[in-house]
Formats: sequence, C-alpha cells, structure tokens
Amino acid sequence: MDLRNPYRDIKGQMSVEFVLIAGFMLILTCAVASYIFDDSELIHAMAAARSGAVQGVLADSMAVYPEETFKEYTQEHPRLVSPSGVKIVKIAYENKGVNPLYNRTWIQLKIYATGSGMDSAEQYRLGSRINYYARKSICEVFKTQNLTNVGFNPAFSDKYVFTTVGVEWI
Amino acid sequence: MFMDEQGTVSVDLLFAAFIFLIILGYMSTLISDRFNTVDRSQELVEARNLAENIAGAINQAYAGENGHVIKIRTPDRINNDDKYHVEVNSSGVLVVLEDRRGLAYIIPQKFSKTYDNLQSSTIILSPAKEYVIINKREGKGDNWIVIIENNQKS
Repeated sequence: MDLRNPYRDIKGQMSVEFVLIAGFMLILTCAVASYIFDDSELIHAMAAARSGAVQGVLADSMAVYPEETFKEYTQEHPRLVSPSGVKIVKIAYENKGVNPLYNRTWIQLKIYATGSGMDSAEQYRLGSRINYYARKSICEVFKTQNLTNVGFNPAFSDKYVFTTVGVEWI
Repeated sequence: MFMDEQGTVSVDLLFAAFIFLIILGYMSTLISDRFNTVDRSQELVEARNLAENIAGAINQAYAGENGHVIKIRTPDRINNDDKYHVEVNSSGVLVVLEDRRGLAYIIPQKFSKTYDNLQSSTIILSPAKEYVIINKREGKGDNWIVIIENNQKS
C-alpha cells in the first residue's frame, strides 16, 4: 500500500528545525539589536565627521573664505589668505559616558592634522574650521541643526552628543 | 506540479531586499552629505583655480616686458553660478563669489583699464568674457599692466 500522499509535497513545508532556528535567531536579533543600532549610529556619525573634516581641510587649503573671515584674515593673518597645505592624519574619539545635561552619550572627537609654515594662531584658526565642518556635517547627516547653535557646538545625533577638542598638529 | 512554471520570489530575496532598503535609507543622508561636500569643494577649487590662472597670466605679462600681450577668458560659471566677478588691483586677484572671497597674490604693479590714458584703478572682470593683458611702458617710466576687453578699442 502506498502511504505517500500525492498532494503532500505540492505546498511549501516548514521543518521543526527551521522554526526552532528562526525563533532562536529572532530572540538573538532582538537582544543585540540595540547594540547594533548604537554602534551603527556612531559609525555613521564618525563617517559624517570625517567627511566634514575633509571639507574643512579643503576650505583651508583653497583659502576661499566667507566675506567676514576673509576681511579678518586679510588684516590679521595675511598668510591664511594664500593656500595652505593641510592634511588630516586621523580622527579619534573618546567615549566620555552619558552626559546628564543632554541625556545622551558624550563623544569627544579629536582630529589630528599636519601642515607646515604656520604659527600657533594660524593653526588655531585652520583647526577651528576643520572642527566646525566636522560638527556641521554630523548635524546635517542626523538633521539636528535645530537642536544646536550656529557653531554646531555641540553636535547631536539621536543617541550621542559630539564635542571637539582643538586640532592636534603633528 | 505547477510550482516552478511561473516566476517565483524566494524568501531569501525578499529578506535581502528588505535589509538592503533599510541600509540604503539609513545611508541616504550620509550619501547626500558627501554629494554636498563634493559640490562645495568644486566651487572652492574652481574659484582658486581662476584666481591663480589670472594671477599667473598677469605675472607672465609683467615678466614679458613692454608690449607683451596675453589673452584670457573668464569662465561662464563657477560651480553653475554666473554671479561672480574678479577684481584685479595692485594687491592681487580677488575672486568674489556670492558669499565667498579668494585672493591670489601677484607681483606688485600698476594697473589701468584704459590703454591710451594710463590711470591706476581696480579692474573688474565679468564672467564669460575675453580680456587682453598688456604690458605697457609709460614713456621712460614704469611698466603698467593694462587689462581691457578683447573687442574693446581703448
């Protein structure tokens, strides 16, 4: 006697193993999802900071400035009106824990750059521009411009607050 | 029986497409930020390039002594914007964009916008025009740099 049901294999079947594995994966995914999202957000913010810092370096290198800055540099730092050879060496961050004021995890960015022929006042100005563009880029990526001030300091993402320290010239 | 006769979409494909769309959506702002960076960079580079090119042409005309003539043409647009101009005077070549300025230094010299009647002045160069840069000696005195439009007769 043929016990096979001729209609049994026509429809898709789900094995018990599959159900068990799917259930286990679901639980595992739910457990690590928050960590993944947090890390992913930080990675995106760092990518945004890097992109912004590059823009800042380019603004420094090309020496094409907004009108007020141009006037100030022409009078006080004429060296900065000419192109400067500035390069980003690396961008590091330090997790400073939860900032109670903003109720977000506080990340402090530190950008390392290199460039020659500048005094400390000029380096400070070029570095400030790099930091400004890095913060601005984070705010633009996470659309948080309305949460911060005109200097984008601090910069916010959904779960992090970013500040910058002075650019380290090496 | 009929299962494989029509096109089918596997669960794997649906799942992969779903994940891909989520990642794409999440990264779209970052991608748009990168595009903005490139766009702004292009503006800065074009402005700097223009300033240095004009400054180079002026220095070359100056070094060429009396009678040296160089033709230049200003670009139609800087980063798709035709609202720019260039100011040339003894302190340098200044490219003026809508909200930005960039200066290229030159060898200090006297500038005039008229060939016959030499008068020290700031010369404004407009987009999409051809100019001639002429080195002219004033009698036995100094050399002047005269910049006039190519079709203009002093």
